[in-house]
Amino acid sequence: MSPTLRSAEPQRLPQILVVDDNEDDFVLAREGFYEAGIDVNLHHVENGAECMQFLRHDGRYEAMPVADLILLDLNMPVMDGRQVLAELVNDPRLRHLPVIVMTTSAATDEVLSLYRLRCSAFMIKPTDFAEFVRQLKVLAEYWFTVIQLPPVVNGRCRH
Amino acid sequence: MTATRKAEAAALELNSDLLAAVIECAPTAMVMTDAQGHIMLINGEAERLFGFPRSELIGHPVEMLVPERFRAHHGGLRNGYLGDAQARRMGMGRELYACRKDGLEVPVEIGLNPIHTDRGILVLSAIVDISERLRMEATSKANELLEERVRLRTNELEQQTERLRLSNQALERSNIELQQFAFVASHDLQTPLRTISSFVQLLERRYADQLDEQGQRWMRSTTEATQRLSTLIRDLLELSRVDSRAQSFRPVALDDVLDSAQELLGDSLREAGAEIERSDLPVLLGDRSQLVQLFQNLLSNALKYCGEQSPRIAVGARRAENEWEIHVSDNGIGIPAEHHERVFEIFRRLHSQKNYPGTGIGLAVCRRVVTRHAGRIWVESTPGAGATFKIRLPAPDAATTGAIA
Repeated sequence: MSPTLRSAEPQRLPQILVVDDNEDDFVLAREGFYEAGIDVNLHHVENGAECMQFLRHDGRYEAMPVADLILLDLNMPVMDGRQVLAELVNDPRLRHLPVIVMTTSAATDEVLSLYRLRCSAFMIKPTDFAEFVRQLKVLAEYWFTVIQLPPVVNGRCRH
Repeated sequence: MTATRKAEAAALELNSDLLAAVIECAPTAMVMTDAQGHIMLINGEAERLFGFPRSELIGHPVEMLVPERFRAHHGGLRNGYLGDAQARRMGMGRELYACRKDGLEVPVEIGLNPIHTDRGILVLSAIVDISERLRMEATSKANELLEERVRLRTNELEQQTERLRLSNQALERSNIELQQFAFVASHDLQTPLRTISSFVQLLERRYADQLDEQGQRWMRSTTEATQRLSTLIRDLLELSRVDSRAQSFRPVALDDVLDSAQELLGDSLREAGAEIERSDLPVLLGDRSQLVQLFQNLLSNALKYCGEQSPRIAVGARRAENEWEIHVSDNGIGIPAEHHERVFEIFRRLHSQKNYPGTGIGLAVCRRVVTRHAGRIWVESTPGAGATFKIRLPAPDAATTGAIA
């Protein structure tokens, strides 16, 4: 099976950072993108603190590429998804990053407060894998085709 | 008689006249007896107390005034007193009774005063009727007892109230804990369940061709079981959310609610070829999303148990005094009378998973939603002739719903 490339910039694969403390969930995301036929570069960190280091190219993440999109789990140890959102909003260099919150389920008022924290989209992880694959396709359609991702200059985001 | 003796006699006469007058004036009943116990003198108060005119007493034994049951001992006691006669109270702690002419006994206190004369010791008794005092004492004793009983009972009641309050509190706590448990359990179960079901589906997609027929069958069984579990958890969450995610009541147009429920069921309604016949529905005060859920569950119930024919569903309302009665009728397989109550219990299923898959939570959610809206839900049905679910909900006054009606 050869996944088709749907990026608006064929010369560059979208860099997606998956922030999830559950290794299985990362594998499922990876396989989900594969099954959906979406070609992306996936990176995985296990909590909010590592996420911030990755985005700021701190320490061992120095050589990592600039992320185009974050798939953010909510409940994680050390630093959870809500804290990540709050910190992103306050960082002018990271504020523009699209963040898609992924969770098993959430209450309406929680969703609202997350949108207030500037999360870009909200995705409830379905129990059905086929449904998950469908959702990933929709997500890719929107973020990689319709929306022009911010261009990258010298490995860093241009502001 | 010499002059001296005459004067002495006159003085004595004067003395005894004086004494008689003093005794007569005393506000207390008084009886004077001689050494043999014969009554020599009584006053008016004593006449009133004993009910005898003095003519019937003078010269008679004082025992006439003693109740019969004490009479036998009285003479001995009297002689004993004369042996060591001092002014003192009679009885010394015994209860004393005087006997009236009419036979009634009167509780009394008696003071004894010896008078030494040359004719021997005379005894002047002062008798006080204490029946009134005893009555008052008894009353106040009874009052005290009553007060004490009231106090004890109040105390008991307070303790009971406190116990009730505590057990109420405990019940509330365990109720909340149960709800939280149901919510957390079903919520946290979703994560591992999602992992299992997703990996099983991945296995099926990628590796099914590497399995023999039995392996594939087992994989299908696993998938189906995970799907059932997923539905069960979803429904449990839904049930626990009726209370945990309750919204405050607002005016809600049930017509819109039914629209939303039909929209949510869109595909399954179309697939089943269902016809829905609607009449106007009222505006009520309620939690919109829960009412949508109520209709959605009732409609999907009607779809599910439609039997061989294509489902025809009727939804309508009628005013019943200060309530609205809403009905959802179907032409399905119906429910036997003995199950009309039980269908609303959680996990209560009347059919096998194979014939009618389900979790047995849908109608429990309906009942919980209706209960939260201070209403009632019940079913009327004859097997084979469809079922009608009826809901009674309080009708709001015009002012409350006027805004959107």
